[in-house]
Formats: sequence, structure tokens, C-alpha cells
Amino acid sequence: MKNATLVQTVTYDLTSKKRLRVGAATPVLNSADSLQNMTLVAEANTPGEARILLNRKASGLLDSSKNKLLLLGEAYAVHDILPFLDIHYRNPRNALDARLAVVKGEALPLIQLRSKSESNVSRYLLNLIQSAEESLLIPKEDIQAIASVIMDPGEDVTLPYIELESSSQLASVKGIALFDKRKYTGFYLNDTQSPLLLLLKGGKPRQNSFSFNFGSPKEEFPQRQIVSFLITKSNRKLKLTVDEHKQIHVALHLKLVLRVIEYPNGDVEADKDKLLREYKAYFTKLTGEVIHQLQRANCDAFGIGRMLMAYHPDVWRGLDKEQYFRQVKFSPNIVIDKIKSGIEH
Amino acid sequence: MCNSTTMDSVHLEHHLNAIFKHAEDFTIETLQGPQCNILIAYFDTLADKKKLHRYVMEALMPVVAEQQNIAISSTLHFKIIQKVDNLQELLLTGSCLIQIEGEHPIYAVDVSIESPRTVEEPENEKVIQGSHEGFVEELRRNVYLIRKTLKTKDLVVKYMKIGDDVQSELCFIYMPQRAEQQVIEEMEQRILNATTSGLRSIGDLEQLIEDSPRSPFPQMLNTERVDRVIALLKQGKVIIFVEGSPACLIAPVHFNDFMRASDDYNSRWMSSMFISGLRWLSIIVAIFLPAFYIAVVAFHFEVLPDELVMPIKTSINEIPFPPLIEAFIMELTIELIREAGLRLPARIGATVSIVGGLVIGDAIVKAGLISTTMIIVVAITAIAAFCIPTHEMSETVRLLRFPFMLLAACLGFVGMSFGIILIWGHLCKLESFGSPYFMIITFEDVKKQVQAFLFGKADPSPRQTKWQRIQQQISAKGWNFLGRKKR
Amino acid sequence: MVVKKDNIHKNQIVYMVIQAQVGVGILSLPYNIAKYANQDSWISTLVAGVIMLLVILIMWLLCKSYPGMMMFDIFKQLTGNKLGKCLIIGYTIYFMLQSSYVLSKYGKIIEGWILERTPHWIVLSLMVLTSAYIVKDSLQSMIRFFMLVTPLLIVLIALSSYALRNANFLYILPVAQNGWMPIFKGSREAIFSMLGCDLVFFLYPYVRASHTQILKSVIRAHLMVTLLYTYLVFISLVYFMSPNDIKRVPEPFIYMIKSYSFRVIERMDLFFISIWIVSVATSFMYLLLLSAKGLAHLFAAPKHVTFLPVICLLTLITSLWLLDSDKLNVVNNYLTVCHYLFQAIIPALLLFISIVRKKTGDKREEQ
Repeated sequence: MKNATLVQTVTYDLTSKKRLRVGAATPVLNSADSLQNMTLVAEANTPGEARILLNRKASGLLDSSKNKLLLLGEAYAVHDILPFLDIHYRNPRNALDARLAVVKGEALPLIQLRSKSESNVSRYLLNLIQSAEESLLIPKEDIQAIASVIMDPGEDVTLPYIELESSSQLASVKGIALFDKRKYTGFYLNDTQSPLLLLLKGGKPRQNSFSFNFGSPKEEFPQRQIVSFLITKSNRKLKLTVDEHKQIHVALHLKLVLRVIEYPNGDVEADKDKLLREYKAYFTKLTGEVIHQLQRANCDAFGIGRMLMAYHPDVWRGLDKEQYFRQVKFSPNIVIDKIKSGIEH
Repeated sequence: MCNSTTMDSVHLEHHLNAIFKHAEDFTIETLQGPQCNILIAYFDTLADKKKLHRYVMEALMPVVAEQQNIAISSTLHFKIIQKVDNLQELLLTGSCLIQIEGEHPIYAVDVSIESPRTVEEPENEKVIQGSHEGFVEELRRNVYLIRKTLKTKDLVVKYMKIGDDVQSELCFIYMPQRAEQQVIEEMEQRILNATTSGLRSIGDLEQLIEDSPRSPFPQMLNTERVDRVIALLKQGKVIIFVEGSPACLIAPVHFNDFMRASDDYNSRWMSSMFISGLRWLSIIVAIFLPAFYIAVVAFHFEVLPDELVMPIKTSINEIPFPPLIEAFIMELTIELIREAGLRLPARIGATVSIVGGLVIGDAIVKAGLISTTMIIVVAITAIAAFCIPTHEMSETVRLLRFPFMLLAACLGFVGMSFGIILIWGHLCKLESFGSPYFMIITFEDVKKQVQAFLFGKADPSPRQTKWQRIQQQISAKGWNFLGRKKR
Repeated sequence: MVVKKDNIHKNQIVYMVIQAQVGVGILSLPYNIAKYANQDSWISTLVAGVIMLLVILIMWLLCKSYPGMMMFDIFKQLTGNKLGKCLIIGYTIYFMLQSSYVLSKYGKIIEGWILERTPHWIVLSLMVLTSAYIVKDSLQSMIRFFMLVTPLLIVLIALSSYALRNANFLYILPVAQNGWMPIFKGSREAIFSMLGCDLVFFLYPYVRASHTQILKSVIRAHLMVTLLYTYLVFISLVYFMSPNDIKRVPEPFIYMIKSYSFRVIERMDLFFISIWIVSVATSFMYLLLLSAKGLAHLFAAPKHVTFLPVICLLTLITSLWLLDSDKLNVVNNYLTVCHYLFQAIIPALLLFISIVRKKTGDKREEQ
């Protein structure tokens, strides 16, 4: 353990010459103050080669057993990501619960930033991602989980999408990156659409806050009509049916229980019916956006293909495995069960 | 030699002087009187002068003076000796021999000094709640201590002797209805067949009669506490006492018996279970913690969670030694401190413990020789080893730590696995006088525990039926057991 | 002569069978079966369990007809002295081959997952020496060890069950999509991990229980192991997708457990492997014991201890050679044939012979 240089975060970028640039963030021990980290960069054709080059630059033996984060640059992710992840699966010492994320632009600057809240950038990024997972903004995916999903012809993987704000030297989670089989499609869901996707996939809500404006712009204070609320309970049912024309219908029923956290107008109970209607419209619109985006990206995040394989294997056999998702007809149905108004009326 | 009936006093004197020619404390006195002389032989160092005066001199004075015949039947202390072989033994156990000149019968009176140690709690086996009595060095007094608590006619007490040159007296105690006949016979056989020139202590006896003297684990329990011995007697164990040792040997024992302290009998069910569990945890910690730490740091540090990796890495970064050497240095130092603490007189003891703690603990870390985490590990291990109630098992555990550390340093977790397999295999082989040593828990034990939980503590006399037992519980606790109200 | 210490109590039979059956194959079992049966592998294990019952029955009937005789003596009785001795030699070599294979497999997994740089002979000889130490004394010590070690299986099950959190039950469906032939092919693989019942049957005269009690205990233990295997295969099937995913992981369990991370401790697969070593040791022990007893019978020696060094050395050398020359698959093929021969065909033949003999014996008596 003494001679090991621990790699905590690895970034993969594609250079203009189609070579792989690999960055590794390693902690540097300073007994005086807290941990700093040092970034090692190497350019090679594959991660294995890059590792050999990095080993020459590092002071100890490179050890990736504590590598908990893999950052994929956008340019790299639009090509097939699986082959270069092979080294992470083959090494017995690797941690298979490493998180993955797609970074807008280049991934390398992300590990070179100097964060003010934590001196160890790997810790900072990992905490960022884990707290986003906690608030149900992004799905909880590690390398082991996505391996099964990527190889599944009937399901596609979704990864967190991060951006570096170079002005403030902060990284922020922008949403969910949509993959089609093994490639990043370039499409992503923003931060209002992402929680909804996760709720539609059956996740349990974690105090996700939303706010929307249902007032018309003609009013004097349009801001007064913004209401912020949380989703406290969510119940999803997905029904897959195939009709005679081999057309796949998916009915998505989502039942939500909301709690209002801010309502400038004051009286929640009085406006309850109006709020119910507005919420339902809002969510239905949002769901439509999500599904539209998914189908544009051809990203089967729901696993429709897997369900077809399980329940309608003959239908599945006759399908076009590449484009089947685009032909699925979704009928979302969002029902707001209750609106809780909090301790105030 | 010749029979006593044919030996007269002159011959007796010569005979005894010949046997004890090197013993200057052997005294032969002659009470000279007008009618006859009486020869008294005794060991000066073994005889109580007061008793000698009271029982012998005063009793004999009238005989010497007025030539009254010694009315043996009225003098209860006097005993007639039949065989000459007994003379030596009687003298050595503190009797004095009396013979009237001209007559043949030899009398013996027990005038031995009695100054037993007071009954106090043994140093190693203190408890918070419970009896504070411990055994003493005299055999007969120990048997007295048992009999005074266990007033039952079903107690077998057998005396035996062991040793060729120097004989030691043994005492066998058991309850015949509860102890197994097979075990008793086996023990007697082993004692009779044991050849030794003389026992130094009860530890020698243990090594002579136990099943596997080469095993690191003790196979006979060693205790000085009276209440523990009595509880074990009731469970059907056999006790051996040796003259001169306050500890007694108990067989057959299981591994579990070494982990029981008297506290368990006196505390409530839940707290005693918790404390028992803690003791088992302490045995695991004492054997495996240093090895686990070495395996993790040297081989498998990915086992540590992320937040822990960096602090531990920082603490071991500047240390010049590999973890195994570090561990050995610290463990040996702790053993040295412990051993020194035993030998130190009380006044210096406090000072040295401060030195040990501060210097070794603090300064060695500041000097950068040992990492802080290693100190923590070693300290916890040392404390855990002392949690074990029996001294012998505690020593075994401390000893077993070292091979595990070596195995872990060579092969990591795999080495530890094999160490565990070896130890368990060895424990499975061990037998204590025919019964397996390491059956920690059997299905019958679990059934008994469940029954005890549901129907109350079971120490039933075997004659009670289950229905009678339930009735007893109802009347004792007034439970609404069967739906009938208790009036 | 049956020494007191060698008696086997009827409660111990269950543990013997369980520990003998659960061994080195448990790690790669789902992978081996899924190569043929894909998502129906869990049915394969059930089918294999049922087929094994037949084998158990045959052996039991054989032992029942000759109570008080060890299996080796039964060979001699039924086939004459010379052929019987050949059979004993055959069985001994078969057990030794099996134990070498077990040892090599174990060495390969340890080398692949934990100790990459340790030389093979250290890892293998450690296993051989510890097993020999436990086997060299009476039967009771080995059986008590088996009893002691059985609760560790519960830890194994608990660790594996954690995977159900990330399970996708759709991977199992649809059931029997490709028909029954793949399932049977998969059962073949599963049977090889269930071969442990012969321990009881080869030590039949030492068991202090009636015939029906023995049969009941063996069947009970066997059913438990079958259910255990089915459960474990099921867990890997819902965790890994087949056919693509599960075919890339030769040891699915370690993979599964590797991805857990708890707050206090990570990399649970290291603990899993450490516990698994104990299971391997128990299977290896029983194979050592049976080979030693075979040799002891051959040379009419009272104790099997005298042959242990020879057997240990031979096994060690064979497995080292197998590991270094990477011939495991070849040996596996040979072993497959041997399994069929020694576990099914020969006992069936012998049973047949004994029935025929009994009938002719009856006829002769009638005359």
C-alpha cells in the first residue's frame, strides 16, 4: 500500500488525431494540509497503453483499485464506449462500483479544476454525483450495472451528464445523457426532464423540487403564479400491449402525490382544482418532451425491448432491432393524487 | 522390615534414626519417670508444640508418674500402629510416635501444625457479584470448602497418591449421578498409569493426564473459585485437587467452559448473553485483528472504504518498516510490558506503566517508527486478550496471534483462511476424556434455550414431567398460561 | 474392524453430504450451465438433482444388499478378487484425478482473483497440507469439521442474495424458449457439481443408522444442495443477462459480489473467496480420504494414514502440471467420461450382478 499511487478518477478524451487522451487524478499526501491531487496525462491508442505510459510518470505503482469515477468526454462517448472499458472489467483489483459520467466538451479540465469546497477534486466530483443521485436527478449506474444493460439488445443505458462552468470553477450536473446501444447520441435530458424520466422508470422520489409558472404573461406579477412543489410519492405502472398490426403500445400511468413548498398566492386549498389541472397539464407536457427526446435519441431507457423479449418473443423476433424504439407509441397518463399544502393552508 | 509387634523401643529408636539420619529436625525425646520411660518421636518442624503438650505430654505425665496403664480406648487421640511401613509416612505428615519402654505397641498422635492461608478471593478470578471464596493450599481444607456448600450425600471423594520418589496426595471429587462413568474410569486409569518422579505443581499433573499435551489449547479447566467448582460439579464434571495447590483441575471440559465466568451465573439472562457475546467477540478480535490489519495494509487495501484509505495511507507513509515488522515490534513490546508488570513491586509498577504508555505509545509514533493505526490495533488486541475469563485460554489466544500474523503477511486473506481451517481442524480433533472439545452449539442446546425462553429457566429434577414443570411455573409466576385465572 | 472413534452418527450424515457436494464448482456453476441452457439454467439444476437421485438410489441398493461391507469389499465380492482389485485401483485413480482437478481449479481461481504473483506450489501445498492434517486422524475429526463449517454456507447465501437488489427478473423469461435439449445439456454440467454422495456410500459400514434413515438423510441433504444450487443459479441469471453477459464472466458470483460496497467494508468478494476456500477444502478432504482408504484396502493396511503422503504428493504434482500446462479442459473431458463410468455405469452393473446372483442363489436354495 505504501508504494501505490492511487488513481481516483480517470478521464477519457478523444483528441483530434483520434487518439485517446487519458487523465488520472491521484491524491498527493501533504501531512501539513489536506489532500491535494496531481493530474497525470498520457496519450495513447488504448487505455492499457496509456496506463503503461502513466506508470512511467507516476512516483509509485499505479493502482486503480480505488478508481471510483470515470469521466467520458463527449467527443469520446459518441463512439463505442465498451471496448475501452474492457480493462476495467478484466483487472481483478478494479472496483466495479465505479461511477460513469459524460462530460460536455472535454473531460480533462474537470479534474484540473481547483475547487474551493474540497481540495481533493475526485472527492468533490464523486460527492457531486452521489448527491445528485440522492436527489433523483441522475440514475445510479456503476460499471457493473451498465455492462449488463449495454449488452442487452432490448435496453439502453443512461448516464449522468456533467458540465464544467469554467467561470466559477465549479462542475454541475446538467442532466442525463442518452445512449443508443454503445454510443452517446448527443441528446440529453435537462434537469427538469431527468427526474421525470427516473420517476417514469419506477424510481422512488427523493424530495425532487419543481417549480413552474402557470400564470399568463399578461398579468402584473407573473412571478406570483410560480408554484414550487415536491413530489413525495410516486406510483408507476407500465403496460405493454401489441395489437394485430404488430404495433407496440406502451401505456404509462404515473400517480403522484405532491407537496407545495411555495405558493405566493397564498391559499393552496382554495385553488386546489386549478392547481391539479395545471399540474397535470404540466407533467403531461413534460412527459411528452421526455419521450420525444428519448425517441429522437433512439434510447430505450424503459427496457421495452427486454419486456418484448420476455412476454412477446415472436414479436421481438420480427422487429428491426435497431429502430424498434422509434415505432413504439407511448400514451402517458399522469394523475395527481393529492396535493399536500404543508403546515400552512 | 520386621513387624512392629516385635520391635521394642531401642530398636525403634535405631530404626528411625537410621531412616532420618540427615534430618536434624527429627527429634526423639524420652519421658523419664520412676516406673517407665516413654519414647516420643516427632519432627520438630512439623509438630505443633501446643498440641504436643496438650495431647501428649499432659496425657502421658500421669502414666509416667504413677505407672497407670495407658487406657487406649479412653484416649481418643491415640492410634495403634499395625505396620512399620506407616511409621515414616505418619512422622512426615506431622504425627508423633509414642512407645513405652518394654512394651511393644507403638502409638501415633496427630500433632501437625495447622496454619492454613485464609480463604480469600483468588487474584486472577475476581467477579463483581458472587461469592468471593477461593481455595487454599491444604487439600482437606479445600474439600471442607466444597462440602460446606454442597451438603449432599451424593458426593464421591476419593484420595489417591501420585509420584514415585516424592508422593503428592490427590483428591477426586464428583457427583456419581451426574458425572459419566466412562470419564471417571478414564481419569483414574490415567492417574494410576502416570509415572513421574514427583509433581511440581498442578500444571504437571495436567500435562500428564490430558489428551493432547502438545496442543496449544488447554483441555482441563484450572480454577481457584469455589462457586465455579460447585456449579461445574453439578453439571457433572470431575474435580481433582492436589495437595499444595489452590487450583483444581476439572474435566471433561468444552471450549465453551473456558469462556464462562461466575458472573454469568449471577446476572440476568439478557445481560449475561450480551456479555458472553462480547467475550466471544473479544476472542475473535484478539486472534484475528492484527492479522487482518496486516493483510489489509500489505495486500488488500481495497477493502477499506474510500474515506479510510487516505488517512491510513498518510499514517503509514513515512514508516520505515513493513507492517509485519511493525506489528511484531509492538506486540512483543506489549508482551514485555505485561511480563514486567507481573514481576514489579507495586510501588514501581505505577511509574513503569506511565513510562510504558507514554514513551512507547506516544514517543514511538512521534519518532516515526510505528504508525498510529498500528498502535490502536495493538492496544485493542491486548485489551481483548485480557477479556477472556480463564488465564490459560487467554495465554493461548495471545500465542495464537503470532502465527496468524505471519500467515497474513505472507498470503493475505487466503493465508488467514488456511490458518482458520487449521485451528478449527485441530479443535475438532481435540477431545477431553472422550467427549468432543469444540462442539460449541448443538441442536439440543438450541432446543433447550428455546424451551428455557418459553417455559422459564430449566433446571429441572429429572423426575418432574413437563406438565408438572409448567404447573410449577404458573404457580410461581401467576401467568395466565392456560387461560385460567389464578386465584 | 470398526474403531469406536470412526463411528458416524446419523445426524452427521446430512452435513457430510452437503459439504462433500458443495465445493469448487459452485463458483462457475452458472457460467457452465448457461453456456448450454441460457436463461433456463435454473431448471437444469433441478433436473440434475432429480437425475442424481437415481444414482443415489442405485448406490444405496447396492450397499443395502451387503451391509457391513465397505464398497471396496463389495467390488471384490461381486466380481472376484482380481477384477475387484482392478476396480479398486480404478476408483482410487478416479478419486485422485478428481482431487487433482479440484486442486487445479482452486489454484486457478486464487491466482486469477487474489494472489496473482504467488507461485502455484505454495497455494496448492497449503491446501494439501491442511486437508491432510485433518484427514489423517479418525473419521470423527473430519466429520466434526464438516459440521462446524456448514453454517458458513449461510454467509455465502446471504452475500449472494444481496444481488437481488439489482435484479431484473425479466432476464429469466421466457421460460423454455429453446426447448428441452439445452436444458438437459446444462443438467449434465450441473450433475458434476453434485457428486458427493459417494462419501456416505463408501463409508457405509461406519454409519450407525438404519438403512432407511441413511437413505432419508442422504436424500434430504441432496435436495437441500439442489435447492441451494438452483437458488444461486437463479440469482446469477437475474443479475447477468444471458446469453451475452453471462458468457463473459466465468465466475459470476465473485463478479456480483465485487460490485457491492458497504459503508464499513468494500470488496466483499475477498471474504467470499476466503469462505469458499473452506468449501473447497472440505471437498478435497473427502476425495483424499476415499483415495487413501482405497489404497489402504488394496494393501490390506488397517489405517489410511500411511498412504496419505503418497497420495498428497501425487495429487500435488498432477495439479501443478495441470495448472502450468493449462490442460484443465482436457482433463475435464476425461473426467466427464470417468464420472459417467464410475458413478453411474459401474454401480448399475454391480447392482445388476448382485440382483442376478441373489436370484440364482434363491433358485439354488429352492432346488
